[in-house]
Amino acid sequence: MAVDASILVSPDAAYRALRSGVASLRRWVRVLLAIRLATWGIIVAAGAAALVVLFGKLQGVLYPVSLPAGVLAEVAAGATIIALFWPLSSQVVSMSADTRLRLWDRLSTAMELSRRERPTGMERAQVMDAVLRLGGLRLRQAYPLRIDRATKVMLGCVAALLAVQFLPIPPLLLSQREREEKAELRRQAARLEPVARKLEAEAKHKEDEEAQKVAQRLRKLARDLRLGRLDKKRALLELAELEKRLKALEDNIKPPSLKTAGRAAEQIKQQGRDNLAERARKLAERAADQGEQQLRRELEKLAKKAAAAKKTSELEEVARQLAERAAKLGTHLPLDAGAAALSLAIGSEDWDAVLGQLAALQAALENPGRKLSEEELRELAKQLEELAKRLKDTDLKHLAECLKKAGKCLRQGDCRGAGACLGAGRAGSGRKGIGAVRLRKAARAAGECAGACAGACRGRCAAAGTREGMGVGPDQGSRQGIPPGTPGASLYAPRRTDVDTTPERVRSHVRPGGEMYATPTRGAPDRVSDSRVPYYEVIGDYSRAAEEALEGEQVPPAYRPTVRRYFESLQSGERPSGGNESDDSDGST
Amino acid sequence: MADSEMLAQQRAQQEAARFQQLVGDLKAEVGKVIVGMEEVVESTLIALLAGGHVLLEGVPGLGKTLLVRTLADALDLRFSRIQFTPDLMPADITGTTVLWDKPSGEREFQFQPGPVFANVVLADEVNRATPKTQSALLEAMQEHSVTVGGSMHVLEEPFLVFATQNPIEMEGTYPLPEAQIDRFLFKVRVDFPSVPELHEIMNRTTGREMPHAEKVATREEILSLSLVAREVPVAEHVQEFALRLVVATHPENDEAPDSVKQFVRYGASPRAAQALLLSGKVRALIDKRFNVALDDVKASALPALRHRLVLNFEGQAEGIDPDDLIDEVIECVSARTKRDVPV
Repeated sequence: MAVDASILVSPDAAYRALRSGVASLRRWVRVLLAIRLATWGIIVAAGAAALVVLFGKLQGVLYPVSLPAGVLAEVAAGATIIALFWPLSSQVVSMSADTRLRLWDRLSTAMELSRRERPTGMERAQVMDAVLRLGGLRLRQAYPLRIDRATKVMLGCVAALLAVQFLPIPPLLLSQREREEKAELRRQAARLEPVARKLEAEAKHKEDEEAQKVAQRLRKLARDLRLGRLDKKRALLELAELEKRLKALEDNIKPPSLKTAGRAAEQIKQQGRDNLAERARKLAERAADQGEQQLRRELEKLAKKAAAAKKTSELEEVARQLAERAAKLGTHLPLDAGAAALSLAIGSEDWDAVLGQLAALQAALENPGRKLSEEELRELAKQLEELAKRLKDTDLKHLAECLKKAGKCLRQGDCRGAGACLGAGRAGSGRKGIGAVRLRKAARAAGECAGACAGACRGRCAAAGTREGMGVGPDQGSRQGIPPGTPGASLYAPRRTDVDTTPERVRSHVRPGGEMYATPTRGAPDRVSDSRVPYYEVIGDYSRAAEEALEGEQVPPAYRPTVRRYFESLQSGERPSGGNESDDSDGST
Repeated sequence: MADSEMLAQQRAQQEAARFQQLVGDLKAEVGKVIVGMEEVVESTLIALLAGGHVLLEGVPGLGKTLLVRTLADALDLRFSRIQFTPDLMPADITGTTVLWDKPSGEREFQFQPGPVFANVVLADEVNRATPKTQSALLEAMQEHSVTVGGSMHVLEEPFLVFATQNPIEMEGTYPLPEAQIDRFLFKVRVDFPSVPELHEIMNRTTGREMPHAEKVATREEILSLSLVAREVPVAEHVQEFALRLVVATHPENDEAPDSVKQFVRYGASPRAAQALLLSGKVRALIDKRFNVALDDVKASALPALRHRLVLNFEGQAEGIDPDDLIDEVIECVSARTKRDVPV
């Protein structure tokens, strides 16, 4: 504490220097007091917290780190507040400094004399003597900040608390059953950790933040199990929670991404733009042939607009305007324009637009009033197959499969079959976006059941006078393009389907109450009758409905294989097998 | 106004410096004659400068008389020695009125001052005189005057009585009454010197030349410096400590330790507090300080209190030393005095 030379000539300055020096001492003492109180408070709090955490752990209750840390922080804050309001007068501080520094009560006497109104010469001399002594002192000399025994005890208590919080309970404190349980949990942890790491790596690669969080949580769970921080109950709870999160991830509305095939996305988008632009140019040529120059110019502009389109909505607008111009030319816009819009929607990952385009294409294909030429069908099939090829190695491989089968149907002239494949998009319609799993599942279901139609109705869409619901018989089909010997062609008889009327029984399981019963069921109608709707017209819908029923667990487990086998047999064109087939080999009860 | 304050401060500092120098010179001069006995010498000097009387207790031959005489020589004070004996009369101390013939042939009564009319009076073996004779000294010690034949005669200042007592020969002696004992500022115990000190004593006193103290101050200077000592300020908490010490010597007080309650009949009087503070002021100045410290009070506690505690029968029968009781009192009161902060 420096002393100004002016105090040597001014008694008042000496008094001010004295008070200032003692005030500095007082402030420093408050700081040390806060530290001292906090030290003792933390000793008590940390010791108690360690005991509580330890007993909690032994009882299977794990307290979060934030709880004891919060308690210690509150203790430190409380100590600071107490120190601020601790009665610490200047007189007390000066007496304390006199004792510690062996000043022989100089400071305390001087502080008292400084309050007198008319001090004598001796009293002034005493104050001066005290100030000169104070000038040679340092605060830390009087009140050093040191690591004393209390500080070491505090550090020990905090270390004990950390050890109890983070270290596993020593085996000595556990029963035999608990030790075995811990060992089992460690084994599970050893299995979980590589899974968690793999999941995290995959999520990181796909840039899926939600999956990364789940993977990190799984890894933390594995680590806690390995270190023995969790008991069985908490581990199971955490696993159940993670399972929910994983299922939610699987079912989430995050649309499928083409990020795994970025180049494919670009190519798809470009394909869509190019196709529509090409259509526009062809229409422009036709307009030029018909002498419609104004129309030709408009179509050329639309061609440029299509080539430069960035969004699906822009392309849809171009397609709509093209359709108007085409109508003026007495023609209609080919369906592959819709395929072009579909391509752009997929490339832009605009899944609502994808749904819309699939629905539009399906409606167009299933519209009996729409006459499609062979060339149109071929072009559309080509567009869909090219799109399918590009999507083959992406997350949308099931959609690709669906599109490929739709293309195949179109090449065989099966418009409705193609429409059924494309109708897979309706599975997610009405919801926000497309559930990736549902899209894939629906596409798979539709593609599997409808794509194998093998084109029994080539050219049916373009033929006039086709009666809805009447369908085409095998003879007619062969005249109209169904190749002879096509697998399942016999099943395409529109009026009669041979079925096995033998009842089929399914054996039930034993109920918990010990009852066992069997319920007979029939796999076919009682008698053969005429069908009213051609088989091939409904097989897609019925198969899809059956798949949805199976997926939605609306069918009891015991019946599922039977239902599945039935529809598979229909699809493959085989005659459904008769006899009593059930889950159990011995059949009926 | 500031200049006058500065002047007063500087004067005080100069006087304090002069005080310290005088004490140093006195110690040096006394040290030429007296070997060892530093505590005794210092207590004696403190009492002298505080204007108090001293009771020296020690076996014969320890230099008690020599100390007082040397002190008187160094300060150019009039010295007188009174040897107290059982047949000593009060008039032998105070003086008496005698009838004498004037040159004119007339006769008149004239006061003949006794040996008490000196600045430094050595009352040797004061406990051998009768209480009546002892009480003659009492008035002089307290009032600094004597009354003889109805006339009061003021004693010249400074007036200091150094009484001695032989703790061995207590048979046939008259213990000083409490009222008289209480008038002594200090009771100083003179211990037997150590062997090295004895060697030195022999060397000094059995040689050809006897050491002699030179004058270092005049009577007026002593009086002046005594007043300077009284100006030393005492802080509130220091005064309170001195008072609590005195109060703790009383057995009926709550602050008194158990030993005081057990062995003391009467505690110290308020004169003890005066003795503590006055001697504390002198000690502070000697120590080059301008304030009385708690340690000054503690250092003066033994000589100031040991002769003021009246032991009860149990204490006397047990042979309790008052010094032990005073040490306990100091420890007890110090423990209850909060002097530090809990950091």
